[in-house]
Amino acid sequence: MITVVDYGVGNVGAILNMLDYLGIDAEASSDGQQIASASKLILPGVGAFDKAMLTLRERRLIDPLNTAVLERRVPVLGVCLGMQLLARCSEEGQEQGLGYVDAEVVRITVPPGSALKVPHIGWMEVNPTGRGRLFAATQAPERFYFDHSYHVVCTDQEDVSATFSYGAELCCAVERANVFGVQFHPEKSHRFGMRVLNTFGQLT
Amino acid sequence: MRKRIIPVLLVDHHRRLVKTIGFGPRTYVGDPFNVIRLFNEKEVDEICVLDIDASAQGGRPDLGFLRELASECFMPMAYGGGITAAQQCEELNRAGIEKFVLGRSAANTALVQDLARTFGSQATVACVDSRMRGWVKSSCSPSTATVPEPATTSSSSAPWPPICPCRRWPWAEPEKRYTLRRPCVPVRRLPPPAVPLSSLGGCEPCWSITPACFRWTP
Amino acid sequence: MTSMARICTFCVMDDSNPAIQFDEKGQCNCCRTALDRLSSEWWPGAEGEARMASLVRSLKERGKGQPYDAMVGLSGGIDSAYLAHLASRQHGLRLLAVHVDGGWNSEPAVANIESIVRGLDIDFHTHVIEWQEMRDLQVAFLKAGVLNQDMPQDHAFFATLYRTAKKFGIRDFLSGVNFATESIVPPNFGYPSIDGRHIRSIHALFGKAPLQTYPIMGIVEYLWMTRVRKQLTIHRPLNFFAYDKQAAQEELKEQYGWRDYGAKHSESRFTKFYQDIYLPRKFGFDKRRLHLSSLIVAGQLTRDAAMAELSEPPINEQQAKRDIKFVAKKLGLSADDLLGYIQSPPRQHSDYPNNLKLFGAARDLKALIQKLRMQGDQ
Repeated sequence: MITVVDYGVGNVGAILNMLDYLGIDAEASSDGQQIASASKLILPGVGAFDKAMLTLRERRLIDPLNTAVLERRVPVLGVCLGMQLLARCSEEGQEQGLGYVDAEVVRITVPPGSALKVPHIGWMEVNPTGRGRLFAATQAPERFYFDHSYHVVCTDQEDVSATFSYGAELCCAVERANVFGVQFHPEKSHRFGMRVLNTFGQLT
Repeated sequence: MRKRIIPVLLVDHHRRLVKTIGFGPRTYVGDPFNVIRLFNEKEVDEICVLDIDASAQGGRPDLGFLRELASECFMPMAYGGGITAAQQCEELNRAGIEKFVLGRSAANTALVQDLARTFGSQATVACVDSRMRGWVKSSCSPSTATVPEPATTSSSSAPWPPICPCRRWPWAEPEKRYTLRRPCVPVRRLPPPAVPLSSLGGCEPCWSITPACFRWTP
Repeated sequence: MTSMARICTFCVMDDSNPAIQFDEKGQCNCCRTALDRLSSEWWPGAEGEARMASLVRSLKERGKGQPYDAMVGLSGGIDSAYLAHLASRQHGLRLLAVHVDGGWNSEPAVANIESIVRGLDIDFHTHVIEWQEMRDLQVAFLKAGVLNQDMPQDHAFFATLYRTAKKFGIRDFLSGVNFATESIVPPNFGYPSIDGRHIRSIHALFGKAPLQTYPIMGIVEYLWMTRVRKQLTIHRPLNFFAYDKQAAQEELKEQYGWRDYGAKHSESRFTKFYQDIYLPRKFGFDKRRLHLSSLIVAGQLTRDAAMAELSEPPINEQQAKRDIKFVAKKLGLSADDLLGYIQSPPRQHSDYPNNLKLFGAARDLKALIQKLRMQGDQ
């Protein structure tokens, strides 16, 4: 059973529907106890970093998340802003992140005169680094739907499980032990997103 | 640029999916939820839902319905119909809509620029009703109107291409299932990059819509 | 599923239907009746070929000057698709394909219908039933707790077929019904989907939204269409040869890229729910017995193979939960509501107003007239 953290921020319904379609049991929860005792977690998120962290704090969900992720070491998948929240901090705001990954979040910068735009919105092919389990089995190139202005920069490159090319090679997926994060929206990336969610769902 | 397949679904005020001929008589096509699920499985790139009664009825986007629809959709969704203010787009965005289609509101340059600034120009789409033979008709008055200047953001050049529903092929059969749009005739007076659409009268997943399919001649 | 159920020694029908009787050899009346009917309903040899040739000739003759020779209904199922392929590709008949969309098509079904229609390049007419009305009617039927939950879809199909035939001036319908896979008819089972009065009465009792566009055919229109106007003659060409569904599917795959629905079928997600969950749980009936017994009668399956298949439940618990959730959500019910309708005591169709007697009388009258004609000929 995957517990999708429902803190009023993010595409909970869409994630649940995709998991349902895949035949993976999942439920949304805003209850601290349920989250603390979950066997697997997904942390969605859209919008601003600070607002999301403050909301998590207000709803007293940070301790339960810490219990589940740091103590019980259950798999957690951060999606889009949810992935950024796994980092230590973000250029976008003042708040501290959850710190599950040794990384910081910075604004996307594009080379001057480039046609690339910020926010980065649209379908983009990702390049697995060959590390981690989320992208291990993929042979054919996969593309996903992105919608973000900031990206995660990991201190340890071993934590980067996939990148995308946007002026430079930027991190779009992280993985360290039981902590996973994807910058794109799997719930908006039909079969590619399903593949990722399915892989996450099958993890033991 | 990779070709993208974007079905455009027309919904009426009863939340029924319909297909129109020449913006006129409507044929019932099905339940939007059913059809979205089918397009999920067909793995189209995006979905565009247009409420064709919203403006005429003075209505607003139905957030509850759209939230549910967006959550059923496994790809990004664009919505148009009754959008007149940026605030509505914020609510729509929270409900899971990624792009916003403006009809008569496209004439409101300030709104277009505001949306482009907040959500990106890729998320801002102008929709211009037009008929064959190339003359442009604005959806709010029967006389020929000029197309609004493309909105620009501070960091970019051209906005995302406008969608132009052209008149249907006269032999399109109303009984066919889905409305997929493909380029029909180049609409000469529109600035690039514009994407003309017209009804295919059938489900053609192999058809694609890109600015490359359309040529603008000055 | 009771392991103490008595099972026929020839086919695999069991005594879950109280009207089934077993003879001294343990063979049931279902397969005995089907075997008796075999020679007069299925012609897998030379005679079938002759009948087919004769049918094709007469359809082409009647079709001269008309836009179509015959109409075929495409449900997304193998039988109707193969029939269309046969009639159009092999025999050159000009077909109008008709599909009635009740809102439950699975995506492979939609893709398959499209493949066939495009592959054969035949004209295709879809009638989409207003979903809100269909939904309301289906919920009403579930609340009524009756056996035939496919009635809302089937009746709409039937009514639309006749009205479409009238609209396009078509007099002949090619039906995918076939003896090979459908010979077994359990006694006192099922309910004729043509009874429009029954649809109206159940809807009046349990429905909420008015049925404004849902195509209902009352008995008067039915008798007018079938007896007086004789709008459609129904032919069953799949009975004119040794129809093998498996082989048919392989051929469709090869020629049109037909997509397999998998062991768990089907083209309609509601029918899947109905056959895998509703019927077994509410009426104790596993419809696979019907299909498998028919294949045994046709000599296309051994009893042992059928028994092996029946040793597994029709659906596993996890999939059943998902299907219930899907159907409930689509019908606007909670999963608990739907479970409640499944678990409530079963009701008989006769508990609600219907025209069964009238249809029975019409059928008897037809049989009587035929008998008198035959006597008159002698």
